[in-house]
Amino acid sequence: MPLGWPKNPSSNGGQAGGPVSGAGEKRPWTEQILPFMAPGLRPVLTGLLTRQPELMTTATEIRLRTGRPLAVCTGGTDCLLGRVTTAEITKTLHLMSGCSVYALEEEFRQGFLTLPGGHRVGLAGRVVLAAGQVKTIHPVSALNIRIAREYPGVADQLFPQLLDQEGKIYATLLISPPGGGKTTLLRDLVRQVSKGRVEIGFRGVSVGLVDERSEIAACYRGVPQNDVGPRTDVLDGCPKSQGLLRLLRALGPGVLATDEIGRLEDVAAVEEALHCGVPVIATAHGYALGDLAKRPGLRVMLEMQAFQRFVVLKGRHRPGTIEGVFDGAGRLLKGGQRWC
Amino acid sequence: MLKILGALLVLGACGLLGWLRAKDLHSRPRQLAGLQGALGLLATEIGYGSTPLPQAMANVSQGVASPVDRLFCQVAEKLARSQGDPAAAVWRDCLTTWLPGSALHPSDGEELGRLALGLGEAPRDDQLLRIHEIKNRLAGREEAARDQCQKLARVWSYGGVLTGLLIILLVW
Repeated sequence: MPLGWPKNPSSNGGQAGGPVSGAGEKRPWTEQILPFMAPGLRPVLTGLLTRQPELMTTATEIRLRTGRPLAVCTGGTDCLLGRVTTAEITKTLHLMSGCSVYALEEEFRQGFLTLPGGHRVGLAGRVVLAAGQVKTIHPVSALNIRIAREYPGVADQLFPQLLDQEGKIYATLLISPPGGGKTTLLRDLVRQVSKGRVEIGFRGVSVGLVDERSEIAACYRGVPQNDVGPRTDVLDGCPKSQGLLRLLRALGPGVLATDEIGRLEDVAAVEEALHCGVPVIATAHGYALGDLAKRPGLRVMLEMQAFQRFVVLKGRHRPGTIEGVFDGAGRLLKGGQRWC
Repeated sequence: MLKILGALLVLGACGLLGWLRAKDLHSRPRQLAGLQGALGLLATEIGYGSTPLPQAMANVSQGVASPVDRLFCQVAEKLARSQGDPAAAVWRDCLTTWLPGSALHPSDGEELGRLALGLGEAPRDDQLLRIHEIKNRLAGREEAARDQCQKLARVWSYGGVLTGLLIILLVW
C-alpha cells in the first residue's frame, strides 16, 4: 500500500495545517512578493486577490511577460490581467536584484533568482553567450515568480523506515520523475534529521546540505528561507561534487544531503562519504528503480552499494505519493509493488 | 565713527571672502582624495564581497570622512527606499544635491557622474573597470588641485584682506 502525502501535514515541531510560505517568517506570500513587484503591478494583483481570495492558497505562479498580460497561474488554469510594460519588468527586476546585477551574476547565468521566503523567479529574455556558454540574460523580457510553499511533515511516515536498528540514518536515494515531489520530501527529511524526532527516539544530527540550485533551503543572500532544521549547514549554489567533499572535510556532518545526483563526477564525492561513514540522502530523476542503471554515474553508485534505501515516488499526476521503499538490494520493503 | 565701522565691515567682508575661497582651495584636493578612497572601498565591496549596492554604499559611507560620507549615505538611503528606480538615476540625483555643498568643481561632478553608467546593472568586471577609471581621473584632478592650492591659497587669504584695505583707501 503506497504511503500517502499527508493531507494536513504536521510533524514534531513542524507547522501543522498545510503549506506555508517560507521558513523564517510565516507571512502570506503576498507580503513577501508584492514589495518586489513594480508599483504599477501591485494594485492589479491585490485587486484580483480581493475578488478571488482562494488564489491565496491555490496560486502557484505569477508570470510577467513584456507586452503581454500578467498571468496568475494555479495548478491547471491561469488568470490573465492587464498588459505588462517593459518599464514594469525593468522596475521589478531592479527591486528583485536590489539594483545589484553584479552580485547575482551566477543567478542570471543560471536563469533564476531567489526572493526572501524562498520564492523562485525564473528569467527569460535574450541570452548573452561568451565562448559558447551562457554569460547572462539581457534584456530580461519575462519573469516567472514561483510561489514557494513548504509541506512540513510530509516525511513523517517515511522517516522511521530510513533508520537502522541502532537509530542511524540509511544512505537513501529518492527517485521520481520531475514534479513528483522528491525535493519537497528531501527538504522535510533534512529538517527531521536535523531537528530530531523525539517520539521515535531519534536525536537530531548535523546535516551538510549542498543546494546547487537553491531549491531545497532556498537561500537568500546565504540565509536559508526554508526550514531545514537547526543543525543544518548549507552550501548554496555550490556544485554537488565539490560541495559534498567540502562539507565532509570542513564541517564534519553526520549526514549529507543533496538534490539530483547522477553525474560521473558525483561518484567520487559519494564514495568519499561512504568511506567516511557519512550517509548521503539524495534524489535522482527516474520513473523506477530500474532506471538508475541507465545513468552512468548512478550505475557506478549502485555497483558500490552506496545506498541502503531507495524511495520511489509516483509522477506528476500524483505528486508526493510514495510508490515503494526498497532496500539496497532492490527488495520491496513497503509499498504497492516490486519494481525490479 | 561710522566711517571706521564701515571700513571695518569692508575689511572683514573681503577678508572672509578671501579666507573662504582659500578654504575651498584647501578642501578640494582633500575631498578628491576622500572620493578616491570611497571608490576604492566601493570596488572592494563590489569585487570581493559582491555586496548588494545599497549595503555597499552604506558600508562605504562609514569608511570615509565628511562630506564624502554624506553622498554615499544619501545614495544608500535612496536605493533602499527605491521603488524600482535605476541606481544610475539615484546616483545622479544624489550627486546633483550633494555637489553644491562640497568644494568640488562642476567638472569634478561630471567625472563622478560617469559612475552612473551601468551602475548596478553592468557585470562586475565592467563596474570595477569604470570605478578604477574614474578613480585614476580623480587622482589626476587631485594633483592639479594641490598645485592650484599651493599657488593660489595664500593669494586668496592675503588678497582678500589687501583688497579690503585698497577699497577702504580709495573710498576714505
